[in-house]
Formats: sequence, C-alpha cells, structure tokens
Amino acid sequence: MDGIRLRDIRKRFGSVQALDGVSLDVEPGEVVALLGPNGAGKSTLIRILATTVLPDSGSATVAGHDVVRDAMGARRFLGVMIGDERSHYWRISGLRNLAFFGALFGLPRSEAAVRSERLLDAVGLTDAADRPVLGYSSGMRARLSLARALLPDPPLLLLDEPTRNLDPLAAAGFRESVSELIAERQTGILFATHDLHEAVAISTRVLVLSEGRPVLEESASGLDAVRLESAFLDAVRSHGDDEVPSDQVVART
Amino acid sequence: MRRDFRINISYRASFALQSVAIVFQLALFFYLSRVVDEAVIARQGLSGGYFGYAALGLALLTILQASLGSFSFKLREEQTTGTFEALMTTPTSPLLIVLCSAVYELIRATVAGLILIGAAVALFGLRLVLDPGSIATAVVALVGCLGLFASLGVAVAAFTVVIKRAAALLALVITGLALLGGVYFPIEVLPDPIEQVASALPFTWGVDVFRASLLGGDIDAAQLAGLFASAMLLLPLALVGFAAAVRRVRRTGTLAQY
Repeated sequence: MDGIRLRDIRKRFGSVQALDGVSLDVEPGEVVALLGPNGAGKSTLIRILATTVLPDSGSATVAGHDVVRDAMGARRFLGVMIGDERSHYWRISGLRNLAFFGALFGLPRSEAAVRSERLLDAVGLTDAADRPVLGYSSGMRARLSLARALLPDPPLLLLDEPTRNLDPLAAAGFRESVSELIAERQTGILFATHDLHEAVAISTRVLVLSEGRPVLEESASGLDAVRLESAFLDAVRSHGDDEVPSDQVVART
Repeated sequence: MRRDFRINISYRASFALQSVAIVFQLALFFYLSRVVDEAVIARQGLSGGYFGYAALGLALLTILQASLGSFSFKLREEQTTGTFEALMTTPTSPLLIVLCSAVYELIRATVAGLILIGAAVALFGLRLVLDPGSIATAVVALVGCLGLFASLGVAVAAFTVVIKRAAALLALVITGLALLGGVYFPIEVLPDPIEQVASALPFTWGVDVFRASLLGGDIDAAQLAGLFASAMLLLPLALVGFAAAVRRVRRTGTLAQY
C-alpha cells in the first residue's frame, strides 16, 4: 500500500507563504517527525493531508488518493489528531464520542462498540469510558483524541502537536501509548511537534521546516535531542531565520 | 441523532424553560385576541378567531425558529469546540453530516411546535378540526414546511461555515418570514406591493394550508403543490451552497477558525 506522498506543496495565506515547495514520503510503518519554529508550516502541512486545507499547487496523496480530487478516498486511510483536546462532545461520555465517530467512519454499531472499548483500554481510559468528557483532564482528552484517530484502524496517522497541552508526565504516558500502538499496528505516522526529545524518542526520521521550506531531513537513528537541537538551529539559522531564539526549541528533560 | 438527543437531554433546565416560554407566548396572543378586530380574521373563513389564527401561525414559526436557530447555534458550537474540523476529517460526506444534523433539529423543533398547539388546546380552549382528512392535510403541509425549513437551515449553515456568525442573518430571515408569512395577521392587510411578495413565499403557502386544514378553511391545492416543489428545488441548491462553503473555507484555511 502506498503511504503519504507530497510533491512540491505550496500554500499561501494572504501575504504569508505558509508552505513553499515541500516534498515528503511517509511509508506504512515509518514514523516521521515534523519539526520547526512556530509558523514554519507544520500544522498547515498536516491539515493539507487531513484534507481540511487545500494546497495552492503541488500534489499530495494518501494511499494513492489525491487529497484534493479524492478527499473522501484519502480520509478512509487516515487517522487524524488535529486541533486541540477540546474537539470532543463534552456532555457525552468518551465511549459515546467514539461510537459517534465510529459511525462516521462507516463502522457498524457493534464493531464500533468493540473497537471503542478496546482502544479506550489501550490508551488507559477504561475507567473513565462512561464519564462525560467534561470531567476529563487534558491528558485524558488527548488520549481520547488518539483513540478516535485509531478507531478506523488506519494504516496512516497524522498527529499535530499531540502533547502540546500535556505536562511532562502525561506527555510521557502519551508517547508510551503511541509507541505501543506503533509496534502493534505498523502504522505510518507523520507528527508535528516542538519537542525534540519526543521526536527522537519515537520517530524513524525527522524533517525540519522553516518558513514553509524543508531545511533538514535526517534519520533519527543514532540521533539524540542535543545533536538534533544543534542541527535544527544551524539549519534554521542558515536558512536565514536568524531571529529564531534557542528557547523556541523546547527540549524537555 | 442519538448524539444530539443525548447532548440535549443533558440540558434539562433549558428544555423546561423552553416549555414555560411557549405557554407565556400563547397567553400573550390569547389576551391580545380580546382586543383584535375579529372581522379581518372572519373573512379568512377560519374557526377559532384571532387566537386560533395566531396560535397555528406561531406553531409553524416556532418550528422554523427552533430549527434554524438550533441548527445555526449547533454548527457554531461545533466550530468553537473544534468538533467541526474533526467531523470534516472523517470519510462521511459533509452534506450527509449537515443533513443528519438538520433532521434531529427539525424533529425537536416539530415537537416544540406540537407542544404549542397542544397547550393552546389544553390551556386556552382552542378548538381544532380534527377529522382524518384535515389531520392528513395538516401533516402533509407540515412535511412540506419541514422540507422548506431544512433547505433554509442548510443555507444558514453554509453562511455560518464561511462568516462564522450568522445570528443577524438568522434574525432577518425569521423576522422577515414572521412579517410576510401571515403568521400574526393576514397578508391582505399589508400594502399591495408587499402583499404581492408575501403571497409568493412558500412559507406563506405552508402557513395558509396548515392553518386552513385545522381551522376548517378552504385548502388551496396549488399552494400545497408549490410548497413541495419549492422544497424539492431549494434543498439541493442549499446543499450545493453548503458544499461550496466548505470548499471555500478549505481553500482559505479557515475551516477550524471561529
């Protein structure tokens, strides 16, 4: 099965060139981390693949389906975790949230119910399954979002800064859930993050964007956060983004 | 629909307050009918006096208001909570999503309208013509109106998707239809040019047929046919408009904005 293919993607919002010629491949079983300063174009790239933003030019396919001409086809192969952890129906339970989205993914009710329970268990939300999402912590909502993204058992996963609102402990727990699920399912993953430790911990390859352009692409094998941070800053600054301060690169211990 | 029902029943106080508001509205028109010149109403050939006239118009307006208002409010809520973007990443057509949302809101609004009619009968003594023929005609007229309201709801949703806040548009539509649709007074009392416009509105036809069926008036079959034809024409157009709205916000990258 084809994975994700991006060829010369460009996108402008008004006077801002959000993406300026990005090409990338993500194969099933591969985990690619998308790094970059704020405004580098990471979220825009994720959203183009998720079909919620249309590119101005270039091509993007998911499992062979063009995200512009065949958005519905592309969505069938994708699990998406974008937006923040608020994107649930707060007054109904986590289990019912998943059941609803299961129906939108075309799952029969019984199948959606079985998968929902299994996924909630996998992300550690079994005890909270029947509670309204209103009472969930940020970490719990992030894990519910991950469960929702995995509900259709997608071969390809898009994660947009999945741990941005999580404390270090919750973020570590989330990464552990993702790692376990990757090992189990061989899912191809493209995830945007600010966290270099996270990028190094779970990815096989990292791509750094700056001002909409790729400036560094490297295998994560043998890479640690310190070396990555150095390479990241060098690449971004040599690209002309001299204003990027080092504290924009979040290195958590 | 299950999702929407579960969310709505979690707002128990809101449901109770809406029911109380219906009774207050009816009381207003009940006592207003005591000072209104019934001669104008009598010329319509309807039983029930001004109160009956207004109550049934109000029932349909309540359904319109509740369905459009709830629909727009719900879409806005989906935008602000982020669930709208999540919905747009699923392999279910946005058109199907918006239509299914409309169905629930229409059902809920219809229940509100029927409660109003029930309250008018039970609490204020309104007498309706309830033979099988009149009930069947009323149901058919109601179905035609619901089709029309669905197309209006989808059109309002399209505006909400693009401009994010459609409250002013909604108020304009509802107030305009209340004024021109024969809800509170016969359109014959309007100035001629305005009466011409009012008489060409499918909403006016729906109100006329619905009211006539339950208050013993003459049914205009052409109005009923026109109501259904309008709904069948406007609903696909509204859906095309909604698809175009979604495509526009995907192009401008504002789908997730609110």
